[in-house]
Amino acid sequence: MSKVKDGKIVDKAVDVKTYTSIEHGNINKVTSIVLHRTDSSNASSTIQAYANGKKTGAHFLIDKSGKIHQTADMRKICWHIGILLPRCQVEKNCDPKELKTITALIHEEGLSFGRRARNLSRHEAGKKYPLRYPSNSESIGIEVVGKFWPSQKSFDKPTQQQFKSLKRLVEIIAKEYKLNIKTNVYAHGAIARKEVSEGAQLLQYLFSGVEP
Amino acid sequence: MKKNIFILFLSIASILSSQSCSLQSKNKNMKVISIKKVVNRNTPGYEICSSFILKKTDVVKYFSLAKQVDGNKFHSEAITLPCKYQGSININGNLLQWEVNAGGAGYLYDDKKINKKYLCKENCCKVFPNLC
Repeated sequence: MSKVKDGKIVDKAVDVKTYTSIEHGNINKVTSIVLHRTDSSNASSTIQAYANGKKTGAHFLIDKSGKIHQTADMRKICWHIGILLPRCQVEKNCDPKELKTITALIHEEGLSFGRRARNLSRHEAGKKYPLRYPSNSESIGIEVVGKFWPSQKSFDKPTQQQFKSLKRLVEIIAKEYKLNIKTNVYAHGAIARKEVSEGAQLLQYLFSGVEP
Repeated sequence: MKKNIFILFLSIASILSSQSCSLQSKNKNMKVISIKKVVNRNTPGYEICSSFILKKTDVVKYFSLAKQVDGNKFHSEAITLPCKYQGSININGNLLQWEVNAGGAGYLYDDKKINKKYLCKENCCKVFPNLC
């Protein structure tokens, strides 16, 4: 039986060692969980980067063996989302005025493509969740070890142990913050300017219970 | 004083010349075999892709100037936009596939082991400000 105490999971399956370099201020209310892939083949390179002072990172890391590492306090903000996609445009339900603003921001002349995407993301961040996709300030990030292979346009298939650990971890977090797994868990590639396939296999498993 | 300025000028010229030679030597070993633009029309903002233009010579410059990074750094910093160019490239006699995204991220890879990731930073940004 697991419990959460002072932002940390107390469970024999979870190894807790937090890194202050990836913790940035306090989360007021946790609304969502975002599933990531590390683009690495082991957990140690990610942990080493945190230990060396890397500022971006997520609250949890699941190794290929299924071992869960808690790397940040769940009461703290981690920078794990990056550049947000405009939710209403993805889901085709923007009101005309908002769509005009989004279009103007992405077509702004004289700026690089990346700068335009950043400006639009900043505009999105001004909205309240769930009108936009989750931001760093209210979401828990879970990294699952696995490399991206451009030749296949996909990440390593997660191991059976990773799938099982992910399910268990998501259930613990969802229970703690009273989150609906069907509506408040996201694949990173579906909400941010990242490879579209990032986190998709994980989300599919959580929803269907079957390995993709 | 004049002598010092002359020495400083010579030093700067020598550094610039060696960088230029190194870049030219890198460029000589690369030949872009094919190039194709790919636009993902399912992702919002794909309309900006019409103004994203890369030529074969730009691809050689990109892979000479962009910084090769590990997966962790790439995962944190890469911006993936709905437009990219891709194709094949010969580097030092090895045939590889390449991709350059409008967000500045790049890949060099094959079907087996090669899986290199690049970000456009510093010198790359000076040549390709659109990618930064």
